[in-house]
Amino acid sequence: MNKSLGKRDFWTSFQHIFPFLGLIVIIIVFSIIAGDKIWTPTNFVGIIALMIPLCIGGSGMIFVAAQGSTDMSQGALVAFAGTLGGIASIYIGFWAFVPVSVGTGILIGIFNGVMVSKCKVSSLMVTLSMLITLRAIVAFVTNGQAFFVDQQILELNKMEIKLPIFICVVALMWYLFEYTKLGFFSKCIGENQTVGKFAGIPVDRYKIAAFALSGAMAGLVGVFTVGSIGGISPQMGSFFELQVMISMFVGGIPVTGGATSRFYKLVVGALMLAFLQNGLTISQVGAEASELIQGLILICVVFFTLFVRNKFIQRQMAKEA
Amino acid sequence: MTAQKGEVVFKAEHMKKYFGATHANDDVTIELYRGEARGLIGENGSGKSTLISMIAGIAQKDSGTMTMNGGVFEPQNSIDASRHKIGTVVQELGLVDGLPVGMNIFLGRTEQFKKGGVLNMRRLYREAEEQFSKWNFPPMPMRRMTGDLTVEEKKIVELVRALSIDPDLLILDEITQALSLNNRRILFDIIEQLKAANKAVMMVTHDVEEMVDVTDNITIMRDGEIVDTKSCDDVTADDVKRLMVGRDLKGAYYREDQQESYGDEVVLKVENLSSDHFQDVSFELHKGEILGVCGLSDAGIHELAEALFAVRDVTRGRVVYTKSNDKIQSPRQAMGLKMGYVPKDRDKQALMVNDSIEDNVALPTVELIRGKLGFLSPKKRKELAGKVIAEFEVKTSGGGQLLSSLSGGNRQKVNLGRWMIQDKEILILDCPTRGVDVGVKSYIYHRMTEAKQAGVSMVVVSDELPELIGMVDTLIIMKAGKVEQVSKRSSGFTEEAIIEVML
Amino acid sequence: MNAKSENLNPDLQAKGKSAGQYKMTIITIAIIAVLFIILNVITGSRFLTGSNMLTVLTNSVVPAFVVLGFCFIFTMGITDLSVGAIMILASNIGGILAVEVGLGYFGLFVGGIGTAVLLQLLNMKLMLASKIPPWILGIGMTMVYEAIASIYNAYMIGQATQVVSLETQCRELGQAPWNIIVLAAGLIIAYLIYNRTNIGFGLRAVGSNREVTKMMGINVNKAILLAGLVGGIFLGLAAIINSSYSGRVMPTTGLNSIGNIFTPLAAFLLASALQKAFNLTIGAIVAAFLITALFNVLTLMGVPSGTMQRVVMGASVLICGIISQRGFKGVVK
Repeated sequence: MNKSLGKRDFWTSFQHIFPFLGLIVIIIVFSIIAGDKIWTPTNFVGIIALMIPLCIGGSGMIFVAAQGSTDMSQGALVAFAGTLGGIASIYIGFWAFVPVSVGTGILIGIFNGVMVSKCKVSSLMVTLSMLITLRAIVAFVTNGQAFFVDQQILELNKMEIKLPIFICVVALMWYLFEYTKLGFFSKCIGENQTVGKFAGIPVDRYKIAAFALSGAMAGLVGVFTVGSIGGISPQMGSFFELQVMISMFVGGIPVTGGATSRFYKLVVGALMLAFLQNGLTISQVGAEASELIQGLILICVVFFTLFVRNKFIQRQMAKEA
Repeated sequence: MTAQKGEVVFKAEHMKKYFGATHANDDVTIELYRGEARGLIGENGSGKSTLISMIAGIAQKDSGTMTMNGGVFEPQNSIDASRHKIGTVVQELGLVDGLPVGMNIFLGRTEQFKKGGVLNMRRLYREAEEQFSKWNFPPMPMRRMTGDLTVEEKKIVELVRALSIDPDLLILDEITQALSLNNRRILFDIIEQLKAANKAVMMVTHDVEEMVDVTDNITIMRDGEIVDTKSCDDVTADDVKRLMVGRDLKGAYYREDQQESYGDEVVLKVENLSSDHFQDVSFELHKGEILGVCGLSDAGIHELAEALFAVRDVTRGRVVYTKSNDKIQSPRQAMGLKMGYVPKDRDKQALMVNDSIEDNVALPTVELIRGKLGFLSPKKRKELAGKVIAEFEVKTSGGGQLLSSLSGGNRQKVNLGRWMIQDKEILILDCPTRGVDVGVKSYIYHRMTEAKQAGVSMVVVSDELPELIGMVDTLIIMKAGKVEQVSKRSSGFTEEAIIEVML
Repeated sequence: MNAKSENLNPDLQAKGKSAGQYKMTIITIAIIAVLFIILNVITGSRFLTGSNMLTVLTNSVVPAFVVLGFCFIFTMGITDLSVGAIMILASNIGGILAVEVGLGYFGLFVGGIGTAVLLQLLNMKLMLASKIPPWILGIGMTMVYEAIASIYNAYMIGQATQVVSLETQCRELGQAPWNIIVLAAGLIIAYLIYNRTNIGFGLRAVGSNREVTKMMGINVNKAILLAGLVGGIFLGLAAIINSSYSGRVMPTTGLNSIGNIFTPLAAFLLASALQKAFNLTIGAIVAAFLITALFNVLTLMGVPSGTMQRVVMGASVLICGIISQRGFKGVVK
């Protein structure tokens, strides 16, 4: 047996360094473009505020992504769950806000999961339909207008309340993803669904659970989004699912899911995207151009992740020969 | 060496091909003559399929030279090979399910039907039909989607596709076992016709007797090399088998006793199990028994294995775990009842090939690893992987290594090991030694014997008769989805007798 | 085992279409007819009138062309969602050439079809070269194409105008009878290419089993690019007819262009589900007509467009998806 097999070569270690490298590059680029404006404490809090929803949404979506599926409905679900929660808080009482919002998310998530696993419709189609449908319902219910809810909700936007909740939720999801059957089986399903089935994983149940978690997290993000606005706007959460996806992919989680999906990659990716968006804003790049830049980054990063992964596998095969 | 020699039509010299560290073909030299039917035979993994793939243009050689009809022959794909008048029916090739039957006959060679950029489909279908009648096959609906055909019909379409190029050399890889008797007869007539027309045929089959009957000469391969080429006039099936295996089949390789031996306790009861692929299968599995199942490719044996572990839905009947009288309804439940299952296709159904040994070991052993609050301890995972690596002598740099960088034999050790280190009572093994070399095979048989002695019951489904003859207490022979015969070890299995029943 | 060969039913020998398929076609047409009569009753006889049918037909021309484009692209297993954004760009560039450069119909065709073909080929090339899964590449490219159109939009607003409008030029193509004539011609060409050429069989083979196709000696990359080219032409035509019909096509942001192709997406899934009754290309037209008719009925019944109609749209994609996946046994991601 080849002795160097034990040593980590360039591509092996690069797989792990890659997301951090990306983060550093983005920070350096914007430090040059925007100068010191990045490093003010207020701006830093702004970056954290950008990162929090991405991380929460991603901590649910990562289960779906690890299985190799995709959830395009998360953004629309943020708006839908937030709206229903807001309405509930007005008609039932303020306490109903969070349960209704998160509950709505879970129910819609379960529906997505059932469609994908039992009806065998591809997750892209299911969740895209869901996106269109939910957005339309939100537009219908709100009549396209923003409206206010009980201003207690603004409490949620305070960092000292938001941050602990965020840390607890993310810690829980991290544990679930990395150290329990739920996460492990999700990765196995992404690696090879047939193998999973033959090894006794109830694949359908885990798919439904993953979509339900994704939905629940969308509901939670909905609560925070309403909290930051102080009311309900039909546009909230638009583009959110893509931002979460970009966070995951730039962090190095493969589009095809599987064993190399890691939670830390999501966190690093979310931080990266937060820096990027913040940087684009303070560098006064227009909305159109930033869509362009984000689209290009998405393609390049997905390509690069695939490329690095293939190199890594080739390297291991070559060594054996 | 060989009886009658015509003009050389095809020649391959010093062919070499590696897959990772293994020599799939090591310096193979072979000559085929006009008017000859040649048999190519060898155990699984002996390199015969690799040789054929290289000739068919499906796999590229690493080194060596080939000549066809006197000219240099370096095929890039199967169309290239057919341009050189080599027609092939190979396992890997198959058909495109989403196209009509007629189109599959001519796919890649449709230029002849083109007129003003548009294909004359009427003519294409007519000519495809003519090909069927030319070779005496029953007519088929040319516009039907190929995916709707049965396995046998598909094989016939593949055969007609290969014949439609009017080949000088026809290569058939394990086609007969998919054909019914009457179609098999048609095929043998075709081989005679081709020989009479001074063409060459090379065929691969596991059925040695059939090969001795049909072909003129037999080339025997073992471990990637050609061992010998014999004329069928002065060789018996037994000689060929001995040359194939290269050693006596008896001895330490398989178990030595010739008596069935198992406990009285029934651990698993199968009652009237039926699905699309098999009907009314019933048997009882005893403690410490090795129960073998064999049959031809459409006998439904692999589907039966899947159904035993509830991976496949059944239409009728049940599988009962007798100790608790539970009906097995899901793989998860079966695992809870101390059952284990090693599926047939190692790389597609059993292992996550792009994942680490550790993850692959953890997949079916997750219940052993799970602690409080569902915690999967990384330390325990590492320990279990280490245990499999140590106990099954897996050659690797560590538990983190990817499966794709292990050899087939080592992958199979991981595959089997992760089940056998658990205290399972019933193991369902579908082709446990598929695609592994002799050394690993012998090792696996050894482990199976040990497990048997420890009281583990096993159902072994296999395409390799010697392995079943060598290992099982009870043998179920299936034919077209039905149990044809059940015999015990003491009755003295012979390959001939078993094949007789299977056909 | 002999029983197997009896499956080669001599009655089903190649006599053109098999009898079973004719039966399916007739049954399906009968179901559609009954459905239309029911819809007519529901809407108080406002549905099955000559003028309303003409409206439905006119409205179905653009989705029909998009579905025809999908027949060549999606059948290969390439779910390229940037189609909507490509069409917006194609409409605008066609418009610029027609109006601002003053080339009229010639400019509209060259600009529209040229843009759609080029961008579609670019997508295919990128997909083949990078091996990125098509859906994610499609989403990325949607963002890029949408951004380009939006930058143009922002520039025009900066100039105190709007994106290009055809005003009174080149408007005949979007109206009856021209749109219907073009649709009929398009259907014939699509049918021929899909069922009678190497391009058609190549793309169907790639969609069915890429590995086997490659081993059979088909140049898979070439087959994909050729199919992308044909698909691009049909999408370009859809974009042109759309600009001719509506005059001005507004750029979108935030992936809303994907919403624009939802009607054709539902129709394509329906057409795939109807394959036992109709050839895919014919089914494409039938399905586009059916889905357009559905929305027409909703409008007649006073269901608000933009909100509740979009809910129905989402639901119909889902339902058509479920129908087309019936009996599917493979792995779904």
